Amino acid sequence: MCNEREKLIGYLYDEGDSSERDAVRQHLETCGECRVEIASLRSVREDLAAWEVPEHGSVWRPFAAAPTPPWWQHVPQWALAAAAGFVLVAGAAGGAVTHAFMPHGSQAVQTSPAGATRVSDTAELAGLQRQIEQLRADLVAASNRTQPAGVTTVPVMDDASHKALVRELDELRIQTYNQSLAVESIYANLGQSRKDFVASLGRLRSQVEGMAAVLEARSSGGQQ
Amino acid sequence: MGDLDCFNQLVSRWERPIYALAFRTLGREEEARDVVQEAFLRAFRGLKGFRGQAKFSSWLYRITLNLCRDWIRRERRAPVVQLAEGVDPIEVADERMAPTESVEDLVARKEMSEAVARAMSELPEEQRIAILLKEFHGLTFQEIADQLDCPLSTVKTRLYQGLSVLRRRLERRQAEEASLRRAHWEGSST
Repeated sequence: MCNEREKLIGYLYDEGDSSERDAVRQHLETCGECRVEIASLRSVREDLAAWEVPEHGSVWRPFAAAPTPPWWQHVPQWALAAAAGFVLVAGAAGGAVTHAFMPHGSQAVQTSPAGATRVSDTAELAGLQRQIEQLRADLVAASNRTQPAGVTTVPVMDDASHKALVRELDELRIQTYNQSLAVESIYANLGQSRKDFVASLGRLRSQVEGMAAVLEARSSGGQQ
Repeated sequence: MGDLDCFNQLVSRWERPIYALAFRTLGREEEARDVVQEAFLRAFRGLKGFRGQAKFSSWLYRITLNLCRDWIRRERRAPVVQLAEGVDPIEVADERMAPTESVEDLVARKEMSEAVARAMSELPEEQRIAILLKEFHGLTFQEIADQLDCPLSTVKTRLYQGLSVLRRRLERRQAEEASLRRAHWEGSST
């Protein structure tokens, strides 16, 4: 019995099998060592009761129902970013197709002022940049807007929960901003790809013209 | 009554015990407040997943203890005994004094409280939490075993070992205080 701590603890807290507690009670009548042990454990429990928790006010304030966000705020951030990317890609592709099918033969080049093609590209680029800025502004505004304009709510959260929500909001803002940067990056890459493509087309054209010249020279040599 | 109203009622019912558990586990008021706040936020978010298979209080204790453990591991430090700087215990005792209690008794009670807090902070985490749940929150052995994910016999062993260590430390402290008092009297008498 003297080494069975579990039974002593069950007796100390008056918890467990009643027959077991009875057995401990009978044992205590004959075992001075266990009586001392139980008495000292009870003394510690009394000392523990002196441990106070400092006075404190309420650390919690009730929740308030959040205002219902408009439908477009339910659209995931990635979907907004994807939509923005799609608009940009579609715009750029349209620009590329238009550029490819526009008449830009020798006459057009001769009658246009020098650098007209570059001016057209610059204007297109500026237009696309404006679209990007608008999309980015819309995304940021969407993440900033947490309630309908003109509606005021009584602050019911305490500082800690308010801080937690502000942190979450900040993270969303950062995510949104990063996504807008990604969209810009996609556009920049697209522009570079377009330039590379035009350059490679130019090189191909030169090669074809060179080969055509060689073929022509050979055929004229053969005829002679 | 909506979910929010129900939840707010539950919070008001359990706020004090949950704060007490967090404070006694961490030993820091500010961190205990943060833990309580986070515990209720997590409880609210997980409310739909809580099917009532356990008592709400058990669920809340588990969330709180997990947060406390996370904090202890993150900070890699044991709980401290937080003593207010520049606060005179006699003044504090005076403010809290019950009509039937003398200032000396209140000062002694406050010192005892700090001694217990210090001794508890030195216990291994699992023994400390077992004692807290048993002594201050009245959980049964089985409920503590469920909270700590350990066998019932382990709970009893942790309680026994923890209380035994506490007893030795508190007895040593009382012996040191008695020695100091004796030295003080001997010094003042000569």
